[in-house]
Amino acid sequence: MASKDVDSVSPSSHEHRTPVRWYILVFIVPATLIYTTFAIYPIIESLRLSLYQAGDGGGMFVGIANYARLVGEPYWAEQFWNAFKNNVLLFAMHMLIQNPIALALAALLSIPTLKGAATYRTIFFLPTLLSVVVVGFIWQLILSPLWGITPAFMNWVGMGSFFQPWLGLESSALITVTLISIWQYVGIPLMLFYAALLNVPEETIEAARIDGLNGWWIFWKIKFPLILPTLGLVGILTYIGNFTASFDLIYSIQGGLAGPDYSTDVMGTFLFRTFFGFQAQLGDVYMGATVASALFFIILIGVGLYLFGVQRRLQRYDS
Amino acid sequence: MFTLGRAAIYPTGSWEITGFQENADFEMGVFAPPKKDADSTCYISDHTDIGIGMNAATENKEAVMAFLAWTTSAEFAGLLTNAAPGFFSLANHEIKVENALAQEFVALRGVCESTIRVAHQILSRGEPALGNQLWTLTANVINGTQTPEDAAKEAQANLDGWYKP
Repeated sequence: MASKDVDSVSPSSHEHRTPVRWYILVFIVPATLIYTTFAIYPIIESLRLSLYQAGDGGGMFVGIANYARLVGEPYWAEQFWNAFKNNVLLFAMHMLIQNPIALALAALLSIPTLKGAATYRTIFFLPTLLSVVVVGFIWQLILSPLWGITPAFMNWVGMGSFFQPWLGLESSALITVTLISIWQYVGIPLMLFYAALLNVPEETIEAARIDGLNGWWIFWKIKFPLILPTLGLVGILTYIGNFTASFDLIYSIQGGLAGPDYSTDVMGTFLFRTFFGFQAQLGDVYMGATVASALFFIILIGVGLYLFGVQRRLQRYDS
Repeated sequence: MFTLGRAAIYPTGSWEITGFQENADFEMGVFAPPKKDADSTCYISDHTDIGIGMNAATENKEAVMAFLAWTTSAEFAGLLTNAAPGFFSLANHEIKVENALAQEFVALRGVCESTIRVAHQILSRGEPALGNQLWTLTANVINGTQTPEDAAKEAQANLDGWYKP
């Protein structure tokens, strides 16, 4: 930890004029074009659509009426806040369960004397590579009270009386889906933490060991502060992932109505039903765009809070 | 038989006959959903919401009328019923149902009353769509988290919000 660099951009020196470097355009333009076409334009277009309602032969400008409906009309507000609440819970549970597990496993994996680290690493990461539909279907079968292996297995170890159809109970459906999601995705934060831990310089750890710290304290006093930026990154990735990508798993396990009684409904499934319609419900492009925009703002606010509230205070250590 | 895995019950409807008979290499039969008690009536739901009509502004009125008249004929009813086993014409013609399983299904009409599926066609056009709401409410009633009376009250409250007969 010789020098400390507080996230500042060093001003480049302009001592002698360099010719305009046109070739930079060659690198920037393709990505900009693709990103604009497939990300920025759709975002702006859905923001625009959210200000319209179906009228005679096309959209009719209504200002923020759709947003007022979303939080004002009981039918919409109830679904919106329910989905939002479930999404926040989903995120909180990932932060409290998934990331500590990932950190602990990464810490164990990075012990140099551990035998078979590569095997464990592969096993922990494998579920991440599975298709989400396969994961959803497998867990549905495993947990099924009719033909799943869980009831039989729990009977075998003498815990049969504790079995419940967890995916079918309002009280436990969300936590069950969360745990399935954690089982699948724990590999990603694990890999990020693992890479960060491998970057901790050996000399620093050695110095701490010579000073008399044991493995436990080396982790908390040396390694943990050094990987804090990664922890922040994992946090924000979890946030974005839970608010946008949680749709697929819930849809494949619980269906579009996110049952039982909407207890696993998140922003993604709510958006899906609103925009495309589901079964007897007709799709509404304009309300769908409103839900999508609300989701966009939720993520924007979350990421903004992180960037300005957390990221800037993180100290990066140069070793 | 059931515990040995040699027989199974699958709750579904006649529309799956074709798919099941294509993929299953075992025998299939049908029984009506259980009744409340021996004396109560059973009901078969007719899909009156699946119909075809004419666009009032059409320029080919006569051609459309001729086609529509044909769809009410015994010939059409026979063609539909036997080309798509499990889908039955609602017309009153005497038709010979060739598919044995479809015959079993249609025989239930002899013992059961007819009803319609109430949530479709018009009652699912509002917010929330009654069809979807009934899914959730039915699941709640079967799970025992809601009484039937309470569920009915909720569905009615929804309809009162937007539907004027």
